[in-house]
Amino acid sequence: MAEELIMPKLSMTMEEGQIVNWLVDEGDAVEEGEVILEVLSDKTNFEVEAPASGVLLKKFYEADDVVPVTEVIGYIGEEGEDIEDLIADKADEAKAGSDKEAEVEDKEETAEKTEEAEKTPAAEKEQPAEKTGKEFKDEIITDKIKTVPAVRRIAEENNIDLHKVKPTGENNVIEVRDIENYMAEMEKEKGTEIEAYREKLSGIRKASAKKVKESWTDIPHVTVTSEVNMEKIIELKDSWNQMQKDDSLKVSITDLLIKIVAVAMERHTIMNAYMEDDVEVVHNEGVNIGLAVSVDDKLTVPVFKNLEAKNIKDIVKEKKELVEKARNNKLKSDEITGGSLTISNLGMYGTEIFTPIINAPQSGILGVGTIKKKPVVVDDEITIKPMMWLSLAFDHRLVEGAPAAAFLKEIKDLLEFPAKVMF
Amino acid sequence: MRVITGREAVREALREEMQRDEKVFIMGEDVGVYGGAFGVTGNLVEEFGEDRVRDTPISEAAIAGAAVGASLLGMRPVAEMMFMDFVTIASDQLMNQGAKIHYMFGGQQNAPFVMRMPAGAAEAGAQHTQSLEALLYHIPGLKVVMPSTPYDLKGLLKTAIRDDNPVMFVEHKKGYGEKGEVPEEEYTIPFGKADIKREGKDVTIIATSHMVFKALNAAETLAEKKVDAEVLDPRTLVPLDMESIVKSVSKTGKVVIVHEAPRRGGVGGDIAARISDSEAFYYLEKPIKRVTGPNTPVPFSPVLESEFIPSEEKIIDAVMKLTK
Repeated sequence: MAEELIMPKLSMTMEEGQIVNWLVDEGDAVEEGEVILEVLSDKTNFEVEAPASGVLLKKFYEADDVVPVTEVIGYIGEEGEDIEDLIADKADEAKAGSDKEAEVEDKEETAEKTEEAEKTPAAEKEQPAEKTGKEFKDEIITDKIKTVPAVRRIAEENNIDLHKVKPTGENNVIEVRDIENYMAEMEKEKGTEIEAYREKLSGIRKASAKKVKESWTDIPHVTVTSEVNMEKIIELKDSWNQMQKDDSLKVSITDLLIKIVAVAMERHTIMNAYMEDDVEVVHNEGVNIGLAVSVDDKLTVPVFKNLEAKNIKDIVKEKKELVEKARNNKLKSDEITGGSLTISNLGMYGTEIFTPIINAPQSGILGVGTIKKKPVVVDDEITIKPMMWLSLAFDHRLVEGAPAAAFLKEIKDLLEFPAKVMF
Repeated sequence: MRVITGREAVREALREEMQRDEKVFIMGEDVGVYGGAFGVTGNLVEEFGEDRVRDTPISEAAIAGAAVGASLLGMRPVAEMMFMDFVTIASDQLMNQGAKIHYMFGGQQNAPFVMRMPAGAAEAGAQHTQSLEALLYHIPGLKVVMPSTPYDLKGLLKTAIRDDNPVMFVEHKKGYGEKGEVPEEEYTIPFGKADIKREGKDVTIIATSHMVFKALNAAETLAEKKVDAEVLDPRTLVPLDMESIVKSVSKTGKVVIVHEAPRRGGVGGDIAARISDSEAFYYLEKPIKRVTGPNTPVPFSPVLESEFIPSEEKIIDAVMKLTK
């Protein structure tokens, strides 16, 4: 019996995968565990392994096809094995869904016809084809566009969607005059129209758009902000880096921020959790934080796992690795899932405050602004300090305003007095 | 230019070709002394003698068989079926023998004969009025010529006689009386060249044989209704000038095919299919329409017969439906 090859569900949120490319052809021998195709989902590429040894008997989808998870995408079996039945079953399955409604209609129609036929006297039943032609015409019920070849040619040549052309012909046929009128109208409108062109989103950008929309519509966001004096943390960074001979271990503000936010989350455990279906709070065991990384115009969020057990050196190394993978589109599924909170830094663009959108399913997202020298009052005196805004958006179903603000204050305190990390 | 009838045009072609080539001879029922059932051969027997204008017994199978045989031995017979309907009796000789010679001998042997056949409804009853061109059109190896005007009858018959393979030459009985300009000088018309009998831009009417005259009259009436019809006469059905048809249909986007033979299995169906299968498809603005005889025998009653034959009114009606 041939083994099914299915579109794997590689993460909790994965609903469909796009086939990037097949590494074997139909008829090729495959070993169990051998990588046979690459799939794109949740913004990253996965390698899919053969579930059994044998021959790839059938591929149902090609590169660029988008397939729902658990859908059969191929069969592996013995050479020459007859899988016609399996293929037919799959085709039937696919059809069954779309045909269900039609079937009901069909049955009703047949019932009507039988009745009519019974009423017709035998002598009238036999009619020349010419006369029945009209009846056939009435029976063709379809939502397809009715038109003539010339109109289809003109539409194709001019890139016109025939659904937009109003038919004036008998029986709703789009005539040549209709498409000519439509084109004339379009030409008239062109003068006043704003020029634009359309671009279909694909792969990562499509998945990203869907996800960000779901996050925004499903989660009631509240954003709280706080301005932080970064003097101490900059001192800490500079002194550490001066002392550190190994260039690869020099830290950035972001590295320190990750560590500090992780400590704050250990102390405010509600932020290390997320809401599921409005009814359940899932508390994460380890402290996992995502870092938004922008690659070209795409956003990806690698996740730092079990930060409670990691020191700053671990974070520096891990960040280098994850960012490198993100740039090369090599992040694996488990490297972009499981975070409880995301840090998103727009400081390099001079942004100070913003309202970030939570990367579901998470508790919140911390927007980091630019560090800017400002006059501030310290001990009743105006002095100049390097200041930075933090914008924390949180899931208001999960966290009330006060505990969220307390969490933000914890981060602020830790940044302003890093020694507190120890206490 | 001088004007002669279709009958005279055919006779002129026969005479000129017999004068040009002594291998050309005529045979058929009553083609000699009687001058032909429709007066086509006239006094040719006096001019060329009984050896070259041969009266035959009433056996179409024998006429066709003799034509095939004589052609195999180097003669160029022009045989005649008194009525096209009788081609059914000659069908074995034509379809199974004559049509296959060139092919089965790998091109080493030809059968250069012409079978002339008066066709069409002309008050002669169901067995003497058929247009059976579709039967012949279907058989590979037979050329099928179906002219309308005196000019085309003469030019195409001369080409048919000079052709090295079997040519089925379908004349319309009503075409014998039609008059038209025919030059005194020698000319021939090549096979596979349609003739645009009337230029127009709104609709293409493809008409064969005597239907060409009906289509031309219809086109004049249509012009009064501001519809500019093009009338295309294929002249030869095998070979068929698809190039001209595609060009015309692509220009007008609408086409009506007219033939007298019944619709079912008619040549019009094949022409329609070949249009659908061509570049012209993408220019079609309306379904391809046919105006043909109905799927019945030709009635004997003159009233019913005139209903059978595609009329100018029916052509006009079909065109108006496409152009409204």
